[in-house]
Amino acid sequence: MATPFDAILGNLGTISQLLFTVLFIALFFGFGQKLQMRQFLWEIDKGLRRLDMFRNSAKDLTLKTVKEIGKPSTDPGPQINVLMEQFLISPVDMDPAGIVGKIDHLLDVRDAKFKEDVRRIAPGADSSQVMNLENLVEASWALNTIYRIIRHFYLMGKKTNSIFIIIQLQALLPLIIQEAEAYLGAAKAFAEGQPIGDGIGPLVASRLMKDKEKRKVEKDVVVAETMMEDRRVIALKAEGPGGNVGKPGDAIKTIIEENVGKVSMVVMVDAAVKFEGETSGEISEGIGAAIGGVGTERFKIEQEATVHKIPVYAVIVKESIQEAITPMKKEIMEAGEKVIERIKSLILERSKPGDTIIVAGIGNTIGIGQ
Amino acid sequence: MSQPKPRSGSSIVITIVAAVMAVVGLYTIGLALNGNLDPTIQILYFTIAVLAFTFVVLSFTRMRRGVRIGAFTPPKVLSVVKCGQCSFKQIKNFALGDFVFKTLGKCTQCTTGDLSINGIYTEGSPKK
Ligand SMILES: [Zn+2]
Repeated sequence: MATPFDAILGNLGTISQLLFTVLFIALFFGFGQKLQMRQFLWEIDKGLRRLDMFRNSAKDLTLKTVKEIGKPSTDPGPQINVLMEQFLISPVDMDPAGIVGKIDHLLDVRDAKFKEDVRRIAPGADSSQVMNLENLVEASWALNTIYRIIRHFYLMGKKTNSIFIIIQLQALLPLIIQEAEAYLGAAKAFAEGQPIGDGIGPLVASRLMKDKEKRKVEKDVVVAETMMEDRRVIALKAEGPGGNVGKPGDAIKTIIEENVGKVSMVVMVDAAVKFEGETSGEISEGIGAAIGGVGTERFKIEQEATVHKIPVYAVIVKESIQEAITPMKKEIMEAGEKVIERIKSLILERSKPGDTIIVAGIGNTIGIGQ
Repeated sequence: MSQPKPRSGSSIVITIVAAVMAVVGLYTIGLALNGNLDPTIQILYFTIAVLAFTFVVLSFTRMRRGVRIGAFTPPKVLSVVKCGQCSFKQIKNFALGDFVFKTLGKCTQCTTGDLSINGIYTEGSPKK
């Protein structure tokens, strides 16, 4: 008698074939995406834990440094937590006329408040240490913010089960982690007051200023005069060795006005982001105001240069974003000498003896005096 | 790429799936090699086997890379000390409070020049 079992046994080939076809389709078409999404989520989770580790170590470093240098009488932890969550509301840009001034004002207020807060948390720190601590807190703030944003999108992706959010996050995560790692390196450099790659501009300016009489103009900018190839060179940089970028836009404006517009050229020296595959420490020459940031300083320089018809040249040193905010690499430091040579030839080609030239070293001057 | 952290849940599940796929692959290969089968079905089995093995291979190569969890090592920072008068030059480890153009007192070699820090840098790490 044929039992159902026999029937199954007799058709084993067909059944297994059917089974495998279904399994195949399920695994590679239907379930595959789900499986991949799981895998992506796990990867993001791993990355997120790493970012958490970064932000915690930056925070610990900040606390430790504040306690060591600042000698606070109370526990600075809660106050640092408040600083970590700080935010800035950018002005309305529906009617953009005059927005640069607004942003500039906002940044000034933020800067002053930040400095004031840090000084209160760390009463024992001297002025350049306050600057370094401020930079350190900012690096921790950046790490904290990166973590919060990534966590937000991770949880969003998980909640909505949206593969597009997850794929984007997974694709960007390695880059974000790399950047976070650089911020952690920056935090270490700031805690100890070491020059960073971005400091190449101030380093060049300080080499020009060496043993010359210095004076302060504008907010945290020092200026010195020197002679180069029979031209009067006015070098300027942010005041070091505390971590500071100063306001070179205002300083350049002041100097041009002091010289009643009789400036034959402005040369700006800055670090610039290289493309992947290019050599760090390579020098490149261009036209225009080489200065990063929100754009307020660049705006001022461009405006002043246009009013007085002064050409602005840029000499940049190529480096990666990571190199720009971590301790200065040897090849970048050595590029400084070549930059000075470049400035010399630029001056020879584009000006006459007796002319006045402004050389501005742009960047964070941490660990670089004058 | 060092990976000191133990493998997390994702790797374990992927390993299990990969093992299942390996079994599936072996089984289908066995079925396909069974001579008295319709050629189209044979081809189907072969395809499944190949795909299953591909999954196994891919999942293992994938696990090798993935997000690196290496310990962060701060770079070694050095200060270059130079004399303003003679050719004295010394490279020392960065000390807290060092900055470029900080003066460090008189030179030990010529006793007249002032020693100062001329540069602070880090040697590029070998990785990358
Ligand atoms: Zn000497």
